[in-house]
Amino acid sequence: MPRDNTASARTATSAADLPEQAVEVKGLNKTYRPSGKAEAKRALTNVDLSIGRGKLFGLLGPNGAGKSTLINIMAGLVHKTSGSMRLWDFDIDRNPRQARAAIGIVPQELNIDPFFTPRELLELQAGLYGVPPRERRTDEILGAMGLADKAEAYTRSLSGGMRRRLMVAKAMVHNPPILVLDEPTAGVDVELRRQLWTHVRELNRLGTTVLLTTHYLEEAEELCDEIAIINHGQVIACDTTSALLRRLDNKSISLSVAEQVETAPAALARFEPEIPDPHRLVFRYRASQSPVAEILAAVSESGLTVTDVSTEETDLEDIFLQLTAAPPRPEAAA
Amino acid sequence: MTAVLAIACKELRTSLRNRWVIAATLLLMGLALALAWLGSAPVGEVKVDRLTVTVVSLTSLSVFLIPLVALLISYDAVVGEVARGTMLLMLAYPVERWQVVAGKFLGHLAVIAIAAVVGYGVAGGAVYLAGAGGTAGIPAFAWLIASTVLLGACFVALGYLASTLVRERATAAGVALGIWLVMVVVYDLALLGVLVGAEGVISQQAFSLLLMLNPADAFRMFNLVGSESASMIAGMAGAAGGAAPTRGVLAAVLLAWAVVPLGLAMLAFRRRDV
Repeated sequence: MPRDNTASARTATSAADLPEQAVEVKGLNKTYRPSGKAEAKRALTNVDLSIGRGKLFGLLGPNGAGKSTLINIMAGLVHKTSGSMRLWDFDIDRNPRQARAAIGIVPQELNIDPFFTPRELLELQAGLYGVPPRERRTDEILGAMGLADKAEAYTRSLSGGMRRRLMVAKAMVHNPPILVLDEPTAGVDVELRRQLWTHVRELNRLGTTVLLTTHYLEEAEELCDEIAIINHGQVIACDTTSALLRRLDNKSISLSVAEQVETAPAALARFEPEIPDPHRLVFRYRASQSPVAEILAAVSESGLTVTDVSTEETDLEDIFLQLTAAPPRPEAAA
Repeated sequence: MTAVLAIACKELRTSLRNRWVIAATLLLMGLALALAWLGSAPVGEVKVDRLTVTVVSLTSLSVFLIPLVALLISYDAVVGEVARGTMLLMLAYPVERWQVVAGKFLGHLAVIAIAAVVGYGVAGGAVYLAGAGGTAGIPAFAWLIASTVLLGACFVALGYLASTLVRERATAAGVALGIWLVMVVVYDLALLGVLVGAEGVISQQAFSLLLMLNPADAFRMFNLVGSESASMIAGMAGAAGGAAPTRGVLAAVLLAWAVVPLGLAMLAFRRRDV
């Protein structure tokens, strides 16, 4: 009976022996069988991934990289070809229902039955997860998602943003320790995106491990503690957000000067500045060597008057482009 | 159990929304009322109360209509959801496949139960209130409603079996119609043909047994043979004669026709790709 399974998943959250890793993926492979004219497609190649308990984990990748395949395997919608996956310490092969009860998935598409009210949808969802009526937290969840006053409205009358939040609410009914958000902010306006971020951060703060896939690098940079970048079905980078940002150790400082400069003054020559126009000097340097103080000292030594300073930093987008531009490693092409 | 009930509630709500419940109820109620009025008119001679006459009329109606309604709501249950892709989503929940079938079964059975209880209940109530007030027919009428639901269960289960075994919705619809035709129409005709053609070869017991093997006939016998006053006015009573099985046996036959196909449908669904 599902009740026992979900109950065990729930009690696990309150027990002392919580799993260290919320999600553990080892050597995961998926090859879609050829169907009709479509050739066999290798969607995932030797994917290893572990997501620590309580983390806010970002999964980044271009379209067709294998993100959805990975999530569909988690949901039990796609059968993996080989490898293993554990969700909240439940193996998806050996304890498929416990594993499914341990995650809540907010799908990419808004597929809500338009004739149900949010309350009815949540009650139905809770029923499917085997949550007995007395343990349901429908009103609490609706309140937390800012939908309390819409509990009895037809869902077709809800705005796009409300529907998004309703999808998150649906994924939360069985109080899963892991929440998977598949591109939650695709096609969502800026204000709502901020709102959703706040909700996600709050859920994470309360102990839910969050796995987020996204196209928006800004989103990953802003929200996630750790980021994995996936391309051509392979994990090409997996690190903490800050470590990943440190990887591209390039920064630049741009100085606007009052004087006309044609060639770099002798004092500045060793920093090899670029001079895009006579009033501007651009210095590129490695952040780890932090030569900014020396540069500034050299500038004042050479008698230039600085009118403005700006620095440029690598963001995730640069790393992303740099990494995903690389062709797939040979084993993926095999 | 929670998951089964949730699926059952969803199925019932869907049937309410797409008007299956109201359509089936109104259909049964309309036909039952018409039969009750027409059928209970010439009552003086047979000395049974109007309600009993109505039971006999409604039995003949149920035998045709209930299997049809049950098959129509059930043939699409699995193959349709697989075709639409919604079954895949349903199975992403932590529910077992048998729970999906069980939940749908309860939901669809509720549709038939509502139609039978309300549709026939209104007709029965009208006859009782309009008639001379005889109460003798009330138990028979209650049994009619209960056995109607059981008959519905048999054909819902058969519809599921068809729905889980085929690949295309159209095939399922065809198989469902075939089941109806064979069980409700052809079987009796064939039996009659055999009876006439091979006179004396088939014993009374064998004939009774052959009748029992078909859920539609088991239902008919349940209602016509079970009640003495009903069997008095029903032509069928003579057919099975003294060898008529008891109501308990007939109810068991109906139950088996519901449970076995449902179990097979669950097994078939377990092996099926969605």
